[in-house]
Amino acid sequence: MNREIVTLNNVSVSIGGTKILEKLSLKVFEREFFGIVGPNGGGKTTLLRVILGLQKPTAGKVKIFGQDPAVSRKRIGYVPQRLFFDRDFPITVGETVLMGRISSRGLFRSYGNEDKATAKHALETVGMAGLEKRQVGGLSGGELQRLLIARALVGQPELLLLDEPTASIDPGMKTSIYDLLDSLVKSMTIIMVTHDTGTVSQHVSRVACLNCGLGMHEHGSITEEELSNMYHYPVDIVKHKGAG
Amino acid sequence: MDMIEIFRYEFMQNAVFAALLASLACGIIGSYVVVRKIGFISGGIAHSAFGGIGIGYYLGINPLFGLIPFSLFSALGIGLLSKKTKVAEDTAIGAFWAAGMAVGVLFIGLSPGYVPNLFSYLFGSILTVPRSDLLMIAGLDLFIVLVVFACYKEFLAISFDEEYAEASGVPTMLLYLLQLCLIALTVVVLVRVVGIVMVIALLTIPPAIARYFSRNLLVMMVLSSLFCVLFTLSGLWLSYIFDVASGAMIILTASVTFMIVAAGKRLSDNN
Repeated sequence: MNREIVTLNNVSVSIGGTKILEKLSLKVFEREFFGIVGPNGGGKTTLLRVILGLQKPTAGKVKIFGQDPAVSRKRIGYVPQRLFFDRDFPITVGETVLMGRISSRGLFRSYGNEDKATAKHALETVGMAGLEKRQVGGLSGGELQRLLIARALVGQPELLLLDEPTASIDPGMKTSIYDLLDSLVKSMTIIMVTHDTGTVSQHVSRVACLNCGLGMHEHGSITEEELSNMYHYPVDIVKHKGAG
Repeated sequence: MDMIEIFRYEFMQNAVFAALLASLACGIIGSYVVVRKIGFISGGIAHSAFGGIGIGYYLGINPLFGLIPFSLFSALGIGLLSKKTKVAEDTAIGAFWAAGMAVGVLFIGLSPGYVPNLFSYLFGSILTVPRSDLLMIAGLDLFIVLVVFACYKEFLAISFDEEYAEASGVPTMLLYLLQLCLIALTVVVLVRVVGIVMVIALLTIPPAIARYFSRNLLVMMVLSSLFCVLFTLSGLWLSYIFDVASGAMIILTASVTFMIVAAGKRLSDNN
């Protein structure tokens, strides 16, 4: 439980002269379910990109599994925001999941039987077995989200990063995605960015509020005042699992 | 003269071969152009390629040999300028688009004497494709098919979700430039059929129609190629009947079909 998976030390990121993250320090430990909430433009997605090694920090140190993010990338599963997809893209569920195997397959080599077996298993894990031939454009929001999680799982990651996986999904579907994540955290570390200030606390072990800087909350110490300051409007108070 | 009769002529046989070969590259690469929404970039590459034709005339070589390096140069230039500098993509495209055409006009002006067939490169002339050009088109086709076969899963990944591909360690920038180079080569293949001014229609219309009926990218590529064959051959046939320009007739056949299919699709979706 104590192994450090993600270590950020005084990390700052500026893009085009705008400070996105400032002197941010963060440690995430093995098998943690770590939530990050905060307003839009607060740097949540940028933080995920730093962890993935897609965004180089302007200052500070980043270690993932004790290594440079570019090196540890293959051990990370990434679930990007679902809303950015072109729903008309001609691609099937099976092909999308297989994409998760791309880093373990060299250039010029097509996917093999082992890749297909892993993909099938990942679809079973998210409850979408047998839907390989379906077109992605015909899926519901919740199904697409679970498909993107399956794609991340197919690379057998030790760390799973999710960017707003429950945004604009109906409540029933939301619960099923949280249930899925609750079962996944038994075998991996999860970092999730979300707007779900109300629900997130029932599932995560710790939550952080991100608005350029980071406010860390261990076991329910967050106050309503603090959240309102962060969002500039009233929001649900966050209570953590295990908070008395 | 009936249909069988005219195929006795070598120019007609060449025209049909050119249509079939061009359709293969067009369907495959056009599908990427449509799903990645880079039609305007492709238009820029096609028009700037006029510079290569001008240089070809000036040097007294086959203009297609001037076209190949010049269109590759434009493709890389547009790609690098828009992704690696702060220049907006449409600005980079516009700059290359006009600059390439300017180079073409300049060198054609400097070329001594009469410039033959200039119109055929601008607006296509499928009935005058010589056997030697057919061989070159076939060679380019083979190259395009081999590259797409080798990089199919990477191209699919960067087209569907570039950020995810990058996070998975796929060299997205390199592959994007490679895709632009394949577009440039496809422009070369299509120039003889519809000309550089109208290449963009043939690169986008058949795949746009094919997408309505495609479950995945591979199916879309096959259908696009078939639609492209249909449009080039029927356009060629209509131009023969009405005795009008073949390139323009091919594009009009494609455009009208597209409008009908798009309207029909809309109506059937509403019901």
